[in-house]
Amino acid sequence: MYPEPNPTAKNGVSNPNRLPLFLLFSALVVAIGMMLPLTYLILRSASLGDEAWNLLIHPRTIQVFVNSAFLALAVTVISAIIAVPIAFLTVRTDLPGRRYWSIATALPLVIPSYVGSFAIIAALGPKGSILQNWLAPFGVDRLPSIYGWTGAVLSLVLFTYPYIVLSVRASLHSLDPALEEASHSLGYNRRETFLRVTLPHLKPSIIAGSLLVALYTLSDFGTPSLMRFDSFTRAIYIQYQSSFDRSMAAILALLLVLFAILILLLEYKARGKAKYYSSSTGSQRPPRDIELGRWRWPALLFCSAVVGLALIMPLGVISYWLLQGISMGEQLMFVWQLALNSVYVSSLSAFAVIAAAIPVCILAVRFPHTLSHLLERSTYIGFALPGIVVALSLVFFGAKYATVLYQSTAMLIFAYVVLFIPQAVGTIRASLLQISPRLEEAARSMGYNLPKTLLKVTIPLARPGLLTGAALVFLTTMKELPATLLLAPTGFNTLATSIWSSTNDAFFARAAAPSLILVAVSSLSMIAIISLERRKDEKVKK
Amino acid sequence: MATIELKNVTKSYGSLKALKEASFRVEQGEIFAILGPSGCGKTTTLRLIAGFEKPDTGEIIINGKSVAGMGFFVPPEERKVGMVFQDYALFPHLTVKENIAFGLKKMEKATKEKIIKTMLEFVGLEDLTERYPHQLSGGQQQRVALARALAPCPVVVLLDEPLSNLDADMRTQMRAEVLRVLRAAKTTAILVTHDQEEAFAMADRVAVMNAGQIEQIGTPEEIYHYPSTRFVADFVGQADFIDGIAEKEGIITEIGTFPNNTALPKGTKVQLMIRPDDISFDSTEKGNALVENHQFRGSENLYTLRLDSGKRVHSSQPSTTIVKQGTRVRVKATPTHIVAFIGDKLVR
Repeated sequence: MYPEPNPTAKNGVSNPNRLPLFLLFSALVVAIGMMLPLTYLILRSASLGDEAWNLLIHPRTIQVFVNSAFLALAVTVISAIIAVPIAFLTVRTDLPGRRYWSIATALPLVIPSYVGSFAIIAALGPKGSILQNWLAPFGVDRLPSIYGWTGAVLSLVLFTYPYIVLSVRASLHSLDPALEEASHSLGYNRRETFLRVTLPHLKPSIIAGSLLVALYTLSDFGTPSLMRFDSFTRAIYIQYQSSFDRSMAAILALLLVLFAILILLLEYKARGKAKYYSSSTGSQRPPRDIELGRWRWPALLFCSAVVGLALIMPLGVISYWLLQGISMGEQLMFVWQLALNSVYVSSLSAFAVIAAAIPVCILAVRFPHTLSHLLERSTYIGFALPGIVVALSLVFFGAKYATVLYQSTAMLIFAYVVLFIPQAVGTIRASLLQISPRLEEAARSMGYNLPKTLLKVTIPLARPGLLTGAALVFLTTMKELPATLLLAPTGFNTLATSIWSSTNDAFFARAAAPSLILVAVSSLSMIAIISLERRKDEKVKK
Repeated sequence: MATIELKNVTKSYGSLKALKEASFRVEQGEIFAILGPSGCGKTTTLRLIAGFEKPDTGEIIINGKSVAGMGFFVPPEERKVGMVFQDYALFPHLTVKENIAFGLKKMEKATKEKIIKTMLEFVGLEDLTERYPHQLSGGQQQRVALARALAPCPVVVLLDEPLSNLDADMRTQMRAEVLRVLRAAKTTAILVTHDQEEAFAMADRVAVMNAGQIEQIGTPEEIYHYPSTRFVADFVGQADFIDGIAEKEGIITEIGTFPNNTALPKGTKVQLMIRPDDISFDSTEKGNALVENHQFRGSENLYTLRLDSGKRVHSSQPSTTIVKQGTRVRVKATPTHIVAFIGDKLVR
């Protein structure tokens, strides 16, 4: 996910100081394009002059800030409390069915936030939900509201805690068993060793995972908007929709970006520290499992509860409403059109992102130079920009300068490129590093100039990496919500926007089928990512 | 009373027999080495003594008290056995000072400080108290690991391949360092290594192990000059084996006749062990061998000589002695004593 350290000279070509112009130009265009949304947002906010300050200290702004901060804190802490024991149980103990629990507790990541919110509202919402329907015969007309804090925290915790699980599991796997043995040899028993040696070792990975959760909580649009929780993303959307003057939205957006960048920097530092703590030298004996004994029953109960709520419940709710819908005669044909729209726009997105990423990557890998690295780094801005912020900036830009592009597919694709190019750059970069520059030099020695070599040798060889990157972007775009909501042409609905509006209007049956499709799609992308990681690990080991 | 005693200890991992009926004693203040190739069971022995593994059969006794065996098991944290791991296992979240202090529980602060100061001086790291492990070199980490293990005054210190992670020149230096510290601390130590030079330089007694079996226990000189099994003869130092037949005059071989000290019956076929430092040669037309090549090793030249029978022997010569490939020579052997084997068995 993050830029790797400078590639060694052996990956570059013989004269890195002469950056080929056509590559430089294309990469420059891409980099400038990526910086456009944030730059324009800053300009727009700056043009407000003094009013900007008033908006900043406006009670609404402060309320939103406080809400978001506390939400992030609550979600992070609760997720950590759930995740750390799960990670420990599945890696270091003899929990029965460990391997299945490892997978099941990480799977909730495949459920997009708005699908998760849909499931919770459709199950526990005040009116028309499963629970209310079941209790209706007993005279329960309306359930206590699931909206607000309860719903937001529940939805976010259930579907982001796996970030912390994965981070802590990785750290546990890299824990040198000799450290615990050393502690024993110095007189500490099991419990003392856990508190004084193991837990401190895990601290950086817990922090790194928690910051990811915090970033997700801040940037997510689906949950706060559906659960009617007044955090940044929801406030930005409401301001955008309601007022004629959208200055407040701009200020909120800028504030959110700053918050996000701060968290990203902290996370980067925490991950670096986590690496220090894994010693890879010496004999790696696998540590002996801790025997749970009677504790295995509470442990199993705990894991079942988490998996039940985070995985089984949403799938169950989706299936229930799907069947309800079919029995009520809901037309499923509309889903077909939605799916087509999603696929259409995602394919364009994948194509555009890869095309934009290629010059940047080739420049960075083959012509290592301060400028090429700068251009590459500039594409990573997408990580810090929540979808709604990019969408908002482009709305401002489009309304002022490019009215013809406003609410056009082109602008939507542009937003996707800004958001998802970092994913592709990471993947393509890795696959380019696998290709020996000697092959290109051989082509050059046989009379092929640079553009021809890139076309006939480099890109064909990089094709597997390009395809994987494209697949990844395709799948991520399928799930995208806020940018699509704001920028798509009127009347153009994707699976994601349809689920969102159906849930908003409490048409639960209508949201079920698209939800199912998206969960399936999301599972595919997770498989793709995992196999990518595995391949990267194997290549690195060599 | 021996500090450490193993009685018929066996340990298997599934179908793999890592340790077969091992028995030995280590006396107070002794430095004892377990030497053997990878996978011979030496690290397993160490881990059994430390308490990280349970023996299948047999007994382990520390300072007269049984700690394992007979259905009894004392966990490692109660054994007062210090351990220096192959990769040092320093706590990355603690400073040098905190690492060393880790094993000093239930002590007054003043006493603790004194001990830490003494240990640091011992290993020569007084200036590095506030550094973290990742800020230290390999040799420095080694010394911190040693100080940490010694600080709580353990009954015995176990060292698992202590120098294998260091580069060659560092290793020779650290060998002397570690030995100095162990002697000054008057501590009993068991060290495990595959490096014969290391075992010889540091240990009072050496146990040679092979495939879970202890082949011989003795002082380094005994092991080198009087190996009791063929494996030991082969593993420790360089050895060539020459065929010989016992006759009235002595044992007759291609390169000379040697005294028949063990009164072997006439006609017995044996193999004599000869070390390269026992073999010399002169250039002469009436020789019995050809110079095949030589390996320059800095301190010596190791010559490979091919006898007329086709057998090869090695001769250790001064580094300035150069004899051309193909020269005809007469090979002579002047061993200080005879070591004869019939098959794998030593003839006594």
